[in-house]
Amino acid sequence: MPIGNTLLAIACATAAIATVGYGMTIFGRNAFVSLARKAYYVFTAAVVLMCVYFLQQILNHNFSLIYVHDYSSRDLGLGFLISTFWAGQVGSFTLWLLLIAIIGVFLIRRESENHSAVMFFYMLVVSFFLTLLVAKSPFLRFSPEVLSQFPGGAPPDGQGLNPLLQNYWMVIHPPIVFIGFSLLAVPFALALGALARNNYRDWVKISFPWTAAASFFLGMGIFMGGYWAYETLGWGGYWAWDPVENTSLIPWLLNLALMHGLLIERSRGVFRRSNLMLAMFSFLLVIYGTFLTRSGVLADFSVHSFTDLGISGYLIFFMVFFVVLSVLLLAVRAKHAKTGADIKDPYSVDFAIVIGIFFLVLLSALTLVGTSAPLITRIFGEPSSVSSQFYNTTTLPMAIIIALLAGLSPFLVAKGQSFGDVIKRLWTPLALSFVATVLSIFFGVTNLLYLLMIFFACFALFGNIAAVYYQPGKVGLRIGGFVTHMGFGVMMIGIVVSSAFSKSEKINLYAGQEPVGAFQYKISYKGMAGDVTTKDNYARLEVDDHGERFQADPKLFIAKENQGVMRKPYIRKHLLYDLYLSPQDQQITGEGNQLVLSKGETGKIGDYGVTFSKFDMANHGEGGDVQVGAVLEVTRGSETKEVVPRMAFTRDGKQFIKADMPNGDGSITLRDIQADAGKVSLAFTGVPGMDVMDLLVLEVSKKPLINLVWLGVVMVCGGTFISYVRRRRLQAQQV
Amino acid sequence: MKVKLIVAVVIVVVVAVWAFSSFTKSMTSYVSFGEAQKRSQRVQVMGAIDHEKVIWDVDRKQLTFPITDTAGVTMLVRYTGTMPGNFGQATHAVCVGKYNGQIFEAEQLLIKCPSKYQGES
Repeated sequence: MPIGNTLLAIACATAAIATVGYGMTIFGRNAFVSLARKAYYVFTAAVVLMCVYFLQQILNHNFSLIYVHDYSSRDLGLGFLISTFWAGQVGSFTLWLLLIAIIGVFLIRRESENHSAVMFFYMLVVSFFLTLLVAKSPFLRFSPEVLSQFPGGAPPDGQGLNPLLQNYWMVIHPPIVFIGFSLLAVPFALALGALARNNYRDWVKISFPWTAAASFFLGMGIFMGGYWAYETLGWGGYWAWDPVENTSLIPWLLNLALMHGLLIERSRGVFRRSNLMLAMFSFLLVIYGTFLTRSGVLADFSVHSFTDLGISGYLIFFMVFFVVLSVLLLAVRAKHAKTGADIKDPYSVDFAIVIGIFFLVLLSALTLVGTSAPLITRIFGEPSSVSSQFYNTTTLPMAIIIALLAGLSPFLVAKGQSFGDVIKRLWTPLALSFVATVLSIFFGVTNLLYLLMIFFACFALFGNIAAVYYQPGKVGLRIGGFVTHMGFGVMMIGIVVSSAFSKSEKINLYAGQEPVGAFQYKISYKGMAGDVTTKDNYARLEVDDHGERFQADPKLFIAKENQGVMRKPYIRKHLLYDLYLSPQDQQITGEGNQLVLSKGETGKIGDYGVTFSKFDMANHGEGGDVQVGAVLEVTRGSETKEVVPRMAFTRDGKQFIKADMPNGDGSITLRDIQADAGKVSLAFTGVPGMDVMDLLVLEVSKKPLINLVWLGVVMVCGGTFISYVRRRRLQAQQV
Repeated sequence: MKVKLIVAVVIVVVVAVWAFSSFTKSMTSYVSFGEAQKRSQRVQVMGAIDHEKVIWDVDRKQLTFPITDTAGVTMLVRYTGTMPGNFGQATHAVCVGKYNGQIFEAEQLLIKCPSKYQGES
């Protein structure tokens, strides 16, 4: 038995022992806890070794493994080679299992009142991933018959990494997202453990740092994904409301809601059942998201093409299993878990937090409904997706309210204060936000919702700055929450301004010709650095910005792996805006590529002479389409060949069926027929020696305040990180 | 308590109604070609690309190609914009747009490639 599958089998066996051992404690049998604990350590060791072995197979180019063959190749550098570990579905599940296993080591060492029950539920999550790997092992080999066809007993090279993924973000982004997802399993297990044992004494304290850490990692992961898209894909945006993006956003929002809920439960001892539900659903929605994006149900609705690997059944089973388990436990304990009286004073910070949680949950629910649209509509008839317009119109008002609360909450400190007290402290940030909003009207913002968003986003920013300034005593690590709330304001200003006021122009540039103007720039194209078929080929551009000249090198090339066109924009960053140059197409065209010929006439194109001899009216088309061909004698030196480009008239209109020139020297398209004059119009491409012109279609965009989006997200995540550090310390002090 | 509950329910109902209306407004149904040709609103169709008959007009940035759905109906699609990266390798195209009586005008084009390159990010 090969090493990889042996290690997988050991992991399964030890995980089973740990699951059963911890599971029996729920029924009062504690005899096997220490065995279960040991089994868990062996399990983790087996998973780590398995991943090391898997990585070694990738680094050693063992192409007899199907996964290694499908996703890597010999020409990849070390970084990308490592990233092929998680480039495919199976590999990404393997990475996910590894992270879950390692996080479990930290969890198992953290004693708590419900420890064994928590570990049992954590082991159920572990079993989910193990089952997926058993169903679809990363160590699957080609069959011996296939392997024996190759001289060395294995394919000489792999198919390579999707060129879109050959980017340094690929090395770092997926692991960060998976750490975030994996961390969400901990509050989930803590909530189920508390319910199973009906003991809620320390679940808040234990959950806090895990929840904060999950916010940080998932937030950073989402940010990196967006920045990756912006910086390398060249479509100009960073967020497309694609199912893959949404399914990481939804758990993040719920996790942020949980962070706030834990604050209230700790300070007032209320809100427990809601928190348990938030902890459950932030993880359940990770599983649901995995089902949506990995089972192929959305394959026709997402730009990320997903295929069903035959694991949909497992995904559905686990999803239903975890949902039923969570809901049942909660239903059974609903009475016991209920906490005391609710919050009575409407001007208290806790009341504002509850409203904030309410809107965070609504926001994620809207995103969830939109993402699930193809499944929901399938029930009522034909499956439909919703366009990004749905998300934009529904989420913006939610964001406005959340910004209002984020700005307001730091002023709602004392219990039993009145509306007047609150307003008194608020006037400075309100005035500043008002000035900023008036300024944005001056700059041309007229949409009411945008203005409201800008006003309250500024309020969130200035309000929290003021709050830090007026804090009694040392702020210290308590600054985390303020920074997150400031960051949210900054991010929303960036999102509104950069998306609503982004300007873009498409220009045609001919190599070596006069510069073309776009906005304040004059851009000239100096030709390609190499050939479009070579990797990392770029266009040499010279940009003149009011006399300041600089070179720009946006990439455009055809990847050998999948013949796809790869584009990488050139981005010139300024403090207040980005200049974004995205190459769209390169075409070799020119004056000499058109010929209009009468019958018997000969024209010259490059090294070839082309004579139009007659029309070919034969009815070649399927389904009764009428086709007309132009019979051409193509001559070079002493060789002559007949070439017949055609035009088809279908009920849908004209279609061009081009013909190849001899010796693979390009092609001819029959563009037009003047039947009465007996003339044809021909277009040529790729014929050697013809007068060529090198045309680059370039999209020039200006994106104002886009830097605020990045700054804002980094602040949001940075704030959650500070909160994590603070919660860790508080937890350590309490022990 | 009662007042708060009522307020919460009212907010949820308002958001739900309003979300439902924008949901239906921005919804694009997945339909057969026959159905797409009958309707006037935005729909989504999928079919196999006939690479023999693809026309790429660089000056107008127009991509025109016939696609065939599972029922065997063929329809001509016109997309104005940048040719998608992997178009040459694509087997199927998902097109979002309207049928104008002659041709399916696609606003969005989504390319389906053979599954060996799964794009995961």
